[in-house]
Amino acid sequence: MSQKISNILILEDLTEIRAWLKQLVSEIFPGATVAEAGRVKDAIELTRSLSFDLALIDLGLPDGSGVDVIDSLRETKAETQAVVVTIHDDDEHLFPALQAGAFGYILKEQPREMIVEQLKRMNQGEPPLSPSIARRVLAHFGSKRSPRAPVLDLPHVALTERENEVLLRVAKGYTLPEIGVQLGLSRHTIADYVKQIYRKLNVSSRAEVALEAQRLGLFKH
Amino acid sequence: MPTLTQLALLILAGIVLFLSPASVQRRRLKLYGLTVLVWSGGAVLVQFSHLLLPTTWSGLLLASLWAPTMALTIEFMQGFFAGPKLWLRRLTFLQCLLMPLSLWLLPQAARFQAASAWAVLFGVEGLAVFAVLLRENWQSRRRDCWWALATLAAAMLASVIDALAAPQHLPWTSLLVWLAASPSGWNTLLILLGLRLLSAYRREHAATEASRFSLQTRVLDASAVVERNFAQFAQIRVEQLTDKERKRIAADLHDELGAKLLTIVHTCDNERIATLGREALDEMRLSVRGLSGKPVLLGDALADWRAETVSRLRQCNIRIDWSNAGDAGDHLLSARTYVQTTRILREAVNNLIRHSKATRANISCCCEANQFRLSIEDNGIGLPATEHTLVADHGISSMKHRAQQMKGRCVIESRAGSGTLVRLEVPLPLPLAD
Repeated sequence: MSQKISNILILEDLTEIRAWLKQLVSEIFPGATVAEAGRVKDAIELTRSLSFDLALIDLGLPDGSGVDVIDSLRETKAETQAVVVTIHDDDEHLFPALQAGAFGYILKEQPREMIVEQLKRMNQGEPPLSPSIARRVLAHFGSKRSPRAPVLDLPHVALTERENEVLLRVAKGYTLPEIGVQLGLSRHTIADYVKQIYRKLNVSSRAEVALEAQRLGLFKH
Repeated sequence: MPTLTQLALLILAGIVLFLSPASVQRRRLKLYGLTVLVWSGGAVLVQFSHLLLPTTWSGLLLASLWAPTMALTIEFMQGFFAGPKLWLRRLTFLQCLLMPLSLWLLPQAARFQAASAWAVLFGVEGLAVFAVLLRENWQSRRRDCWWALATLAAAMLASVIDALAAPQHLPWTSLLVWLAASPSGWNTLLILLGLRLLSAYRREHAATEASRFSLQTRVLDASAVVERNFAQFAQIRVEQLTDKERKRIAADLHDELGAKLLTIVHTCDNERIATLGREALDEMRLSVRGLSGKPVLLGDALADWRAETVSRLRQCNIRIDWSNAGDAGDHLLSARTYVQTTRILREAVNNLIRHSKATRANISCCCEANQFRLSIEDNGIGLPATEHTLVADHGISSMKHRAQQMKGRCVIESRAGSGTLVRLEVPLPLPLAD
């Protein structure tokens, strides 16, 4: 199930933290090449020339937001797993990153073991999902009952019944293992649902942006 | 001597003339007033002039009153036309000059004939104009037309009665003249007209007053609304500015303090310092949230707390039972209350994990109309008895203090060896009715 990680990108402006992260990933994924960047510009350049399996992206950078890098990764190298590494734990900061296509998020100050554990989990295909993020996702898809969506030529991006159920339970505060027990599903199935939810979130967010751009473009004529 | 009727008319004219200027109705009133003045006033003056002038002169003057009276009456009637007919005005004016002139120039014997002829002419003119007026207004203002006809009939009746009461029988021709020129007929006409005009004027005046009053009320209401809106707007502006300021402080805190604390956490070798650094970062995040955060639905807050607590305890292999009672409903927690309760809960869970050596924990929440209660129970070793250790390690006093700040209560019950129970009560503001 876990993907082989051989190329890693770390985007972080604080030098000590960057060094610490590099050391961490080298431990988890021995033998992998690690590229470092301290600015959004450098990171985007690197993503254009090289292809990465895993990218650890900080959100607050001196010349912009890591969300731009995640955007660029999604467009050019979609198979890269972009993980947000940040101080912020609130959905205000995390949700846009997830909309842009981030695979998951890690809080920077957590103890080493926790971060290792979370990275390993994500690599095995189990992204995290917190109640506040789930609420935002529900709100996002809830408002999609607008007639605008079907106009696009993209596959219909709506949540399935199961995905909706999982989201609702997370929003109520149940953890993923508990939900697995409640719905009679394995951890992997639940994790798959979460991945699907994130993917759909990314697709529908991009579709929304495209539609808006299209409308503005038409408007300008 | 002036008759009673003439005096009454004079008084009426006086009242009418003194009523103030400007609208259509008032113009009519003015014209009416002038007519009456000329008619009665003129008659009175002439009667007094008997004493000063020879009879022929006074007779002439009296007869001459006819022309201006007629002119004014026709002018009055013109007010009811859609547009005044200038030629009529000129004609009547001309007559005012011609009549006295003709009477003066003619020899004595023919004067009475001439005067009678003029009287009949005026009568016919008046009736003609009246007839045209009636025809024009018959469809639109029928009631008024009926009233006008009635007035005319009454006047004519008065004339006829007068004629019949005359000491000698008058020939037919004279009857015509009498009808046209009879003082009682004219007096009746003028009095009735005057009364009607006055009542119409009174009605209009009352309507104006009423509309002015309602306008005043509306202006007062509108200015009250404007004031209220302004107060609201000012309030919103203050809130916006405060919000912006808070967010700025929050962002500054995050960027500067956060980065430094993080560096401490990751570059020190001492585990205790690293833990302190982490707790400091946690605290900072909570403070920022309390400063700039929006209110949170109670249901959402409970979900957040549950997810965090359950996953933390699971990781430490502590069996956790979380139960909810009551309906969270639409209760809103202010950002500050949310943050303080989070701190208390985290502190309690920290103690559970680090010190209690418990294997099981029961957490239950109960939402009621005006408060919510949280209780955390474990089967650990309980709290040590010494006061000193209590404060230093377990932050219990800070938990109590925080609860007090929220106007709630935090009670900790424990005995060494038999577990700990933390009970928190937080009052809720009444949900806002939209």
